[in-house]
Amino acid sequence: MKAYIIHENDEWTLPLKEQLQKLSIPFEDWHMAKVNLNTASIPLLEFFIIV
Amino acid sequence: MSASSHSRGHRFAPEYTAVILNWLSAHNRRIINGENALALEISKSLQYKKLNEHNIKTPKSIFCSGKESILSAADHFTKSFIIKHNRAGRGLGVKLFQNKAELEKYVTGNQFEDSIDGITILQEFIEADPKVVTRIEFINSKFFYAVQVDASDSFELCPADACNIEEQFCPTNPDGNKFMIVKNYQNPLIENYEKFLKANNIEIAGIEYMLDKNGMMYTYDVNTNTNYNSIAEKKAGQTGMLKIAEFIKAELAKL
Repeated sequence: MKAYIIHENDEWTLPLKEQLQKLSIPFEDWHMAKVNLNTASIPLLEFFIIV
Repeated sequence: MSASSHSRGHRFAPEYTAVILNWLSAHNRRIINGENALALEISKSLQYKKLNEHNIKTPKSIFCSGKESILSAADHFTKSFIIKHNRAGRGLGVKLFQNKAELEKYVTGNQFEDSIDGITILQEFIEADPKVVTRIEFINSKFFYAVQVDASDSFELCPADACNIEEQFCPTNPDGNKFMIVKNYQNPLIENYEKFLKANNIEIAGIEYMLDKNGMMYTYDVNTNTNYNSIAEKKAGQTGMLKIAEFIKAELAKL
């Protein structure tokens, strides 16, 4: 399982990423002004957090 | 996702986030701070409506579209007022006026800054007494801590370290830091705030209020995109982002 961080501010997201790393929680970063997603696909059964 | 995204050149990030959340929720994916949180983040009008539904007092506000509307709204204020943007963050665009004449000068001048969504709020000016605002942090829709913010010199009160590059001494907080976590904080409104957050499926938030000289509490902002001040946290021995990471870990274990 992995956490996806939905955001638009790298600086503000950094402190959260540090803590996720400390707890060995896998995560991926979705920057809403940069990411490319296929909304016709079925999203992975993962966990999403909007930051 | 922040209502101030346009100030970083990400004008349509909230709109795209809404699309992505539609996609994820159509497939029943677990989301922390989903579409309701986003809708509140980008609209003070919606924030105030939802806060009022939970008996939380907000300042008198008139939501205006266009300059004429802004100017005529000033007729409904007998004392000083501020203008702010419906969709904004970090105190951007907040200005204080003593009367309509001052407002008119600003609105018709070339310094006028419209809100990114075209909605400007005229709001009664609450003179904070003492000169602080309090931001209450919630994680898992539950109270985490309250941080007192020195408000003696600005409306821009973002706690993120990136927003506080200067080490300034603040006279209002006893330790001289602009942000100070309050020990043994108690407030009967915490219960209303928690109910408000649960009713709107908001799991992580920072809610800001101030007191006037009569001790009346005015709640004026809900941040569903929250930040923590590292100096204040170090002094208090609490780490918001760690608490969030632990919350995420527990939620991941449920999937």
